[in-house]
Amino acid sequence: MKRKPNLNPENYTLPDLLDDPAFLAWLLHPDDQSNAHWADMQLRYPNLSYLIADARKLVLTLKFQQDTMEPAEYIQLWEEIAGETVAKPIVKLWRSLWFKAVLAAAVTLLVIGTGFYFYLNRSIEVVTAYGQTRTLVLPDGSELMLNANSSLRYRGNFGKAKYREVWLKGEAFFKVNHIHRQGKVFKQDIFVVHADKVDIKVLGTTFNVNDRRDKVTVALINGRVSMQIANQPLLNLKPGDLVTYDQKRNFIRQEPGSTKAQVAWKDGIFIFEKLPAEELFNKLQDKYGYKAVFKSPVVKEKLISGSFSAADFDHLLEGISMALNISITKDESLHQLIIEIK
Amino acid sequence: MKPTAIANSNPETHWHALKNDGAKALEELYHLYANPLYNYGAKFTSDKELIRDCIQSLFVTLWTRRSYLKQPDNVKNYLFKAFRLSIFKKASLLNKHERYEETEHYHFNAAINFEEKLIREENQLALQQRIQASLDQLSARQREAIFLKFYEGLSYEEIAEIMGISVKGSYKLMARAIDGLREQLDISDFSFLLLLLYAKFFN
Repeated sequence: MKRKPNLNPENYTLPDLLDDPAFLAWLLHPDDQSNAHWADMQLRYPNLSYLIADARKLVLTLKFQQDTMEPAEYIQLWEEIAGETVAKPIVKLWRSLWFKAVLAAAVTLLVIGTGFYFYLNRSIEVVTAYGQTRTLVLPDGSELMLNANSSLRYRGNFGKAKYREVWLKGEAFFKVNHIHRQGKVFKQDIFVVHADKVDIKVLGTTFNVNDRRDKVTVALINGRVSMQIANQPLLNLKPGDLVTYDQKRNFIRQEPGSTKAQVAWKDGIFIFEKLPAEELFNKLQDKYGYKAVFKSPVVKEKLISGSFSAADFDHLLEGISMALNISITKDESLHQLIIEIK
Repeated sequence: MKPTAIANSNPETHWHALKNDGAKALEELYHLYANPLYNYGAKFTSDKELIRDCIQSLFVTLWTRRSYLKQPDNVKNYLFKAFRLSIFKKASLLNKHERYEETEHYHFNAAINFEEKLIREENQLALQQRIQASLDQLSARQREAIFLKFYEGLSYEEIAEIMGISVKGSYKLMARAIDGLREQLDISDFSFLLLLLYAKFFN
């Protein structure tokens, strides 16, 4: 639809100006004559100079619709081209599928390997209840009997690490497999029992370790044993030696000839040689979990000697009460033994 | 991005460097022409992935066949020509029994518009619509010729080379396009459009 031209230049709007063929002719084909004419027009009608500036601006902003790539697309496209052409293989290594596959495989192996390592190194713990004993065979073939109320811990890769190591709380009787044959002794040949602050190192022997009430007692049956007690010099034991380390008092007592009583528990027997009643009841508490309550304190001083079967707790208590001439009442609910003079 | 009517950085030098295994030259050519090619390609098809594929294969071919390629008279023309052919093939724009040089059956979507902030008046919007309507009446070939002439600032010889027609043919094509616009528009609108097109070219 054609608009009616506004004939008075004083009231020209931009469309009026753009509709004026003379104006367009001037812009398209300016010559001296038209230049002079439009210069004169702008002087006469100052509003025109603004309109002419606007018209120029309008002309300059016309455009064909422009389609461009997003900056990310632009960069990615070049990288794809470069990847097929100019980029060195080393540059695109991290992007190559093979590298990714190898990397993924390596990471997977590392994860599995680490997991397997920790699996091998996982801690295995054997625990016994009150009144219960257990016989174990360790991965290296060593045998041990774990007394009641005790725990033994060792690593899953036992025997493949540098030492054969176990951690003991309570009491155990060890028959350590002798791996070392002759010549130089390697770490793998050594079996170590960690009992609190005491390390017991052996090659292959039979011995008992009791780690209760802050005392570690080692009774050597045969073979040789080295005891590393805290910061003390290494102590070498001979068969029949009985060494007790009192951790509270930092005191070492070495006495020969009384190992039999120490290891009798593994045969289900208690052997006491002039043992004060207080210590006897401590042993019973350690093994059976019943705490002794002395109604008559004098009983503590009584000494007991003899061999008692540990197979049945009630029978054991009966035997002890007869030997010491006392009365022992078992309180099941409080796990106590009430001790009185008859 | 400003239209690269006339590439300022010398593409012929890049081409020469390309022949001597100049990796940097390929990248320079990409920065010079990737966007103009994309813009051109977008007029034929709305499939942007296809356009990018064509650009990619164009530059990859350029690199792999660099030792066999002759130095073209005009690098931009060479790239536009090869790119247009690639678009036609990949987008299956060519019908059977139709020669590439003569085909009319394709789209060339050259929309014309003002910057939005300048459309302050309904009259200007109406003017834009009248111009667009006149462009839409043209054939795809005519629109493409107008785009190459007034947007890319190419000569008749260059348009002929890219579109695969004779130079004489390109003059004829442009004349018919201008006639078509004149028929559609009244004299003031037509003058204005010509003004706009030429102003675009000379600025």
